[in-house]
Amino acid sequence: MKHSFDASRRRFLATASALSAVGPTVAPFALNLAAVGSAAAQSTCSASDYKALVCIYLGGGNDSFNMVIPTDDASFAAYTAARDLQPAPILIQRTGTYSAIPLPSVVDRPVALHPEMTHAAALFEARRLAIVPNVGPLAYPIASTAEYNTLASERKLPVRLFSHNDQTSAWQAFGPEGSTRGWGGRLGDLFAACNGTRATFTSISATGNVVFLAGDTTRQYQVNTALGAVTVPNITGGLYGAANGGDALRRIATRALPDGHLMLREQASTTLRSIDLGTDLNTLMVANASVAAAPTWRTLNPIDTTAAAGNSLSEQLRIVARIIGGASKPASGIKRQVFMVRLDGFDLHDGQPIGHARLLGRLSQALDYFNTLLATPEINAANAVTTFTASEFGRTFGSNGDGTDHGWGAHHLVMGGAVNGGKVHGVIPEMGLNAPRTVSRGSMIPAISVDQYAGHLARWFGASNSDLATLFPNLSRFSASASPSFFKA
Amino acid sequence: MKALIKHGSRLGLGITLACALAACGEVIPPVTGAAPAASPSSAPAGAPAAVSPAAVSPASAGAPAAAAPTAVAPRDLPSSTAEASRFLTKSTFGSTQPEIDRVMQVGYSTWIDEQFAKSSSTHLANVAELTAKLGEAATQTDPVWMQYSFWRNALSGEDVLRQRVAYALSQVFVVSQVNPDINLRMSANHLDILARNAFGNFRTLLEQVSLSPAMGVYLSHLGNRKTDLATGRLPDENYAREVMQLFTIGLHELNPDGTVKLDPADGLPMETYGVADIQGLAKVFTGFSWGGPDTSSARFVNRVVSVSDRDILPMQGYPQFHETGPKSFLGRTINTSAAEDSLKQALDILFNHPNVGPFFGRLMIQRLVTSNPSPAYVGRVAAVFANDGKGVRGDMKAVIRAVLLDPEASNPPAASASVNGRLREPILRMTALLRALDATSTSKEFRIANTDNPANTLGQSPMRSPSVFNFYRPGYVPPNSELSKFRLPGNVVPVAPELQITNEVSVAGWLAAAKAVVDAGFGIGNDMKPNFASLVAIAHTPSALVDRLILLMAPGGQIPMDLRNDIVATVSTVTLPTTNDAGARLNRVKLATLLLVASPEFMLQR
Repeated sequence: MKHSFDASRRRFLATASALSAVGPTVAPFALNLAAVGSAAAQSTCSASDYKALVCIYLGGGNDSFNMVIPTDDASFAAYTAARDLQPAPILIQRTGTYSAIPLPSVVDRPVALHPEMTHAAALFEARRLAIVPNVGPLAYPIASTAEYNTLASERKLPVRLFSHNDQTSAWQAFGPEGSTRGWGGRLGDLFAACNGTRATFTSISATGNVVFLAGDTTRQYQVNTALGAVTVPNITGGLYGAANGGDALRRIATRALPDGHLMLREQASTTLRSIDLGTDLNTLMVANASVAAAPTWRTLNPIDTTAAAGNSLSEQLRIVARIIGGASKPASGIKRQVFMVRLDGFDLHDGQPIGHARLLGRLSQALDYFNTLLATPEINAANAVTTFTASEFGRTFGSNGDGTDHGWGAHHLVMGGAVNGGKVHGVIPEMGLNAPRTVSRGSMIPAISVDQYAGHLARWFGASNSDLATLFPNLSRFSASASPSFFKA
Repeated sequence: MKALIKHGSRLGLGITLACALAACGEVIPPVTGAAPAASPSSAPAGAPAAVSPAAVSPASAGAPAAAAPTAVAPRDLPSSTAEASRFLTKSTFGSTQPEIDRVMQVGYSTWIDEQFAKSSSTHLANVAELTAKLGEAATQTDPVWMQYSFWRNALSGEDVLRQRVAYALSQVFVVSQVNPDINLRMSANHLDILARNAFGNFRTLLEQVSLSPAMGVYLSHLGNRKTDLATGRLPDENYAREVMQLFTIGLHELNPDGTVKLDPADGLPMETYGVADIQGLAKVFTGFSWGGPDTSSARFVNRVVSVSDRDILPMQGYPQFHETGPKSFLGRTINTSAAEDSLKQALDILFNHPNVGPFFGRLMIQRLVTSNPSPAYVGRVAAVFANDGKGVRGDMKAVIRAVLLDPEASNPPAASASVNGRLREPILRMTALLRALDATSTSKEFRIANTDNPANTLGQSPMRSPSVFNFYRPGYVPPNSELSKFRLPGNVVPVAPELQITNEVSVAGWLAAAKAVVDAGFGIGNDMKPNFASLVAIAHTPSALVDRLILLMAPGGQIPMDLRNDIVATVSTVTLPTTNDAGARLNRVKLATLLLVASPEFMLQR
């Protein structure tokens, strides 16, 4: 069911009038708010528990070659040859101070994490965190460089590989920039009915407008890191000496414009959602004072003397945790939510050694902070939340001097109580500038498609096999054995 | 709840074309000078308010300000002050009475010529003034002064057209202070480069941008080195990719009208470049680093920006780091070994690519006039880019004139009526508001800090885009919206770039920011103070007050009569005491202003 803005608005207004006629406190204000935003795509919901997916988007293309480092001699020799270029080597050392942190009990190749990622290593060891290697957008499976060349000539590769904006969209929505529905939002379509009157809070962004969170009927709701929803003052009662000036402000800012300009209708409907739903969201959230503040972060790198500073990713995850804390309580009526947060700055064509350390250190600390928050009694959702990374591409294995260029496949992290942690779920391929699964200066050809990575997350979230086939139509092209589930059985 | 129910009374009103003011029974007293104060919608529907480029007489640059109105071709004169003001929303940071008067007097074309002749107010000069006044070392300046300087020029510069175009260019040739390595003078210099070349030639603009140290740091070609076969090191591809994707030719082969060419073989778009082209062009952008008296390797590799004027000197070539072998891209090969020559040849190739006119022309139309120009409009601008009528390619003056004076700029086709014009981004809303309120800087420094926070200010700061992809993408379609389901002729999905930064937080933030301006001012310690005097003077007549605000901030039929009447009626409920009514009149001004800029219609420029 799709409702035009006006149709849902009229119903909303009519219901508000009806409620008001029998007294303003008869029913919760949120009763019909769902109609204003996301309309439920399904009328029934079978979920009885609460689950949330949290996407951490690493903006710019994370160099996962320096996040998860194979440390067997052959791999490390190839890595050193490609990245230990004077005067600005970009490799991570295998031994010595500030060297890669070996991870325990990894089969196949031994791997280590970037030296800043002490928290992530501890989460891995505690089996809260897993690594999914070599994930990326694919239209068809590719086994070799030769197959890549064949598919390229047949135009069967994802379009505009290596382009930031297009691969951002490919990860989030399986198409280049301009795509209008993402798989987070489409999961929202499937499960909005589970959230009853609060369906609008199915899909929430702490990082601006993203296609990932838009479905056919699902729209994202934007929250502010510090405040949650931002309330608008002076929208009722008197204003500047006019007895109904505040009412006029609200009326004018949210004008219905039934036959109006489409950009203005979008502007007005967004304002209506902001004003009408924000208060409810803020009521729902765990109180600010009940949640530990996000710690500041500073590097472990002895040569980087920058003072401790805030961690914007932790701050975003804090508001997500506050919302989850409220939403996961049965009384909220909410059963399924999808969130997106973001850490930018990964496009490190130069200045990579210190720049990347600062980002991976923040990522690692934020993962630990979020994991800890979810386990606190106030939030109490440690096993109900799965957090995963996404990024438009990995980077070239080769160096351009003191940085790397746009690549393709990359290793990713998943975290949560349901995750089969402490493992590498897939194959870390042989690396090198001309290794078998590489193109263009050592960009990895993905072995696990985003469809498969997302498919595991969607299945955990509750999507059925037929849902998966609808959400990820290319999924059937890929061998399940290439991408084992990273959830506990 | 009460407000919701009251709202229902407005639902049935769909008036979008206002009656002429006289017919509505209202009379506005003239405010200043001899210019008749007209209603925002007094222009007859469909009246041509601007002329096509071809019809513009080649008025000499620097036409004296005293040009007599009688010398102006009739079609070049605005049909009303509202139409003049509407033109100024596209060509300035917001209408003011003096500019309206000037356009009424000399007409569009001469006004543009006059603007072309004005010298550029420069950000480096502003910054130097701040440095001298505030006593900091020139190399340890505060990055926030870039913000002060932007607002100063936007709000008080004489060269209003140049500054508006430079701001548009800053959203194409993006350099952002979000990167902490971009210091104050680098970003000020970069914006000066854009302003200086705004009325020059695109080829020169492209070269100065490519050699701008700010761009060199931002897109990392400063210090980029040639291929090293021994180690396998290859050149940094960053600038090579973005100069093609974002600054010149874009991703797809285009027809002259900007529509995408389709491969006859498979019906798919034809990509302009591939990985090999990027790797070839990347070799061109090697061997460039700080300008200075020599080309020593020490200077090349040094990352310290605070040495002499290296942060504002154009980058120079360092032969020992420049790729000497052949550099192939887009089917061409550059064989020269000198860095500067390689770069010039490469930029010539890009500049002469047939995509540049429609690609860049469309971007300029989107930044100044409308998000969804018709192919015909893009084609007309692209044709002027290709040849300004005197055989010159890339003449920016001709392009700007073509963008602003195209018939479609003032009279969009019916097919796009529900998606025409462009949403004003928060920065342009605020400049329009502050200019309309004749705001002045108490400190004379225009102390406006970053306006990044969307919760209580603009969610957008000049020269602080989140990435080289600007605050929003030119092709942004809000997902799952009515826009995404609408189709323009040719089955084209309409775009709305500025909606990419519009969300539940930003809309609340705008209302808070606008109210703060009306209450107290804008900037650090409310440094920018509105001057309400001329509005208080007419506030005894609410309709006059509201129409005046509409004329300045949302002219030309942008505000439908039902909205205008609603604001007038609400303002009228602020009763004026029989004596000492100054406070009540000020309240009327504040209420009228806030209600107008809170309306969705104010957000649109059309």
